[in-house]
Amino acid sequence: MGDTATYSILDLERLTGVKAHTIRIWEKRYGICAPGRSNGGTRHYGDEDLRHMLNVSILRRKGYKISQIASMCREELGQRVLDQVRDGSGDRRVEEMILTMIALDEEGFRDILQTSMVEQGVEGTFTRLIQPFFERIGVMWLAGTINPAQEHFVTNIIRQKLIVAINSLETPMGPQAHRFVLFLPENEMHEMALLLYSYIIKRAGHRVLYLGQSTPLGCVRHALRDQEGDVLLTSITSAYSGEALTAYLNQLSGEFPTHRILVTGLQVWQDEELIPRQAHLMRIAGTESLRQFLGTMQEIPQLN
Amino acid sequence: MSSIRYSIHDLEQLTGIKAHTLRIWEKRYGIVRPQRTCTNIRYYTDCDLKQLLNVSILNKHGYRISDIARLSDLELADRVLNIAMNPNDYLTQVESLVVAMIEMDEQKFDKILSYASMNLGFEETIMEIIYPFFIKVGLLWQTGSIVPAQEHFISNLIRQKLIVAIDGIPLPARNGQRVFILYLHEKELHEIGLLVYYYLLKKRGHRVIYLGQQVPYQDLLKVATIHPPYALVSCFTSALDAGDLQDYLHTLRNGLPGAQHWVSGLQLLQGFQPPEGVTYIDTLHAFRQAIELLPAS
Repeated sequence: MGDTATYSILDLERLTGVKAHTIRIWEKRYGICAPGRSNGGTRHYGDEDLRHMLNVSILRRKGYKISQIASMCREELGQRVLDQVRDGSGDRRVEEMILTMIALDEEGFRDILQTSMVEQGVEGTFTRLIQPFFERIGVMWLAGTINPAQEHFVTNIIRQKLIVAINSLETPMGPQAHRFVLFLPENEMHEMALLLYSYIIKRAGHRVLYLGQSTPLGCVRHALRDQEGDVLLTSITSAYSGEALTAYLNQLSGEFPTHRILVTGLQVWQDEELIPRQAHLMRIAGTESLRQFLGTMQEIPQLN
Repeated sequence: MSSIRYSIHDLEQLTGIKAHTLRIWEKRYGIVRPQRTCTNIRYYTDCDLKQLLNVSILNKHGYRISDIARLSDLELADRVLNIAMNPNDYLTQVESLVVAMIEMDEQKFDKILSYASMNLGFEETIMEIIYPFFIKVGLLWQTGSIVPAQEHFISNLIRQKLIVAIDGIPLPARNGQRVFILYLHEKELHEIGLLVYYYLLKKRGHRVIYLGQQVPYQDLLKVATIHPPYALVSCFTSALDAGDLQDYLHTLRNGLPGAQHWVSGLQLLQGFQPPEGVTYIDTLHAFRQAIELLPAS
């Protein structure tokens, strides 16, 4: 395995949850993870070290003593961790997901995902496993320590499983079915939330017209035609923030004054103040809030 | 009902019927009477377009235009449906997909596709229907004959069907298989071609590391060090001009001299000369042939 990424001791602390202070003590007392040093004497760690430390932290949480762990070779350590993860709780699964991600291990990653989907369903897997997982690797991003290609790799696997789940749902045709038009603003590529919402909406018995990534407003207009019963849903992760976000949402609600518009995504969650206060524009703070909205839909007759 | 307006030229592109012929049909048989702009230029609505697509399908199947003109809208649609249900008539199935795209009708799309894959199997459906359809969509898109909403809608649906098919193939054994890394350039978004390759490779028992859209160069190198690939495969649709593409491929090839480099994409069609050590694959059939002829690993 190539060893090209380097992590500082603080990165390691964030990624493994083991305090830097403790990492130094373990290194001194037990020789766990002796890192390389820069010219100035600063510790730096490689991928292998990170994996090792993640494994150590998993076993520690399982109640292993550090002296016991120190006496194991790396392979043995890895095997013990695998044994633990088999019957694992969400938290350990997140760690295992990170390990399989770093190794680009598709089988491993898919196994965890699939087991979780069987046990807790698609939505449960997202809220209890995938969201915490992305939060963890989000931290790795901020620290600039993880290879985005590894994120590409796992994002595509997660997307695949989600699309398979969407595809398995029947297209609803009943009289209660409303049409939702789902899209991301121009230059917005982060689709995961939009796909998850697509699944939830379809499952609740409504139709979804999915326009996906980077959709200009003119394109949304064409998709809507004159169907005033349509509901719009968009998600903003990185295309707009701050005042630009407010400006975009104002434009959106001005363009489509007669449609109900749902907005969600990281930028929307962060600051409620940025969302224009208008009757037909609703902030969706998460899956629970979407479900509440869908609950109210039952009472609104379909317009088209 | 629709705000989309088509010119007679768009109609020519979409139906394959010459503008000249359209004007004659209009005059003689009253087939589709378009509206006029205030400067007296013909324009057509979605409804007109759908009707003409149906007319064109029947016409290509030997119906006389005078007979077609006598059919009600319902009869017209009914006959077309009958023709489309012939699994060996690829052209009509491609055209029915065009209709489903224009109407943004997911159910119709599903119906055509599941019928085709039931009869031909999914791989032949890709090769004979989805791929030609997609080339057609590309042309229609370039000539501005379809609106982005239709293209977004249909691309996402095709992507969905491809991903479901990929997911349905079991993973190959961990060891001893050739590794293919599939990626798009940092600025490249068009993923359909790459997903088709993914499907064909996985179906033949190869290991695929699928990185998808917008992969930065350094990250690509890093993945290739973790899992040294037999080949790196990519599609270039619109992100780079020929010079930048040359430079990019040259750098990549030198960065990873031990692997094969396969590239494809519409943009490359016009006399593109790939740098040494890079293989240019010009059609989907050529790609399938290339993976079929691989020596044993």
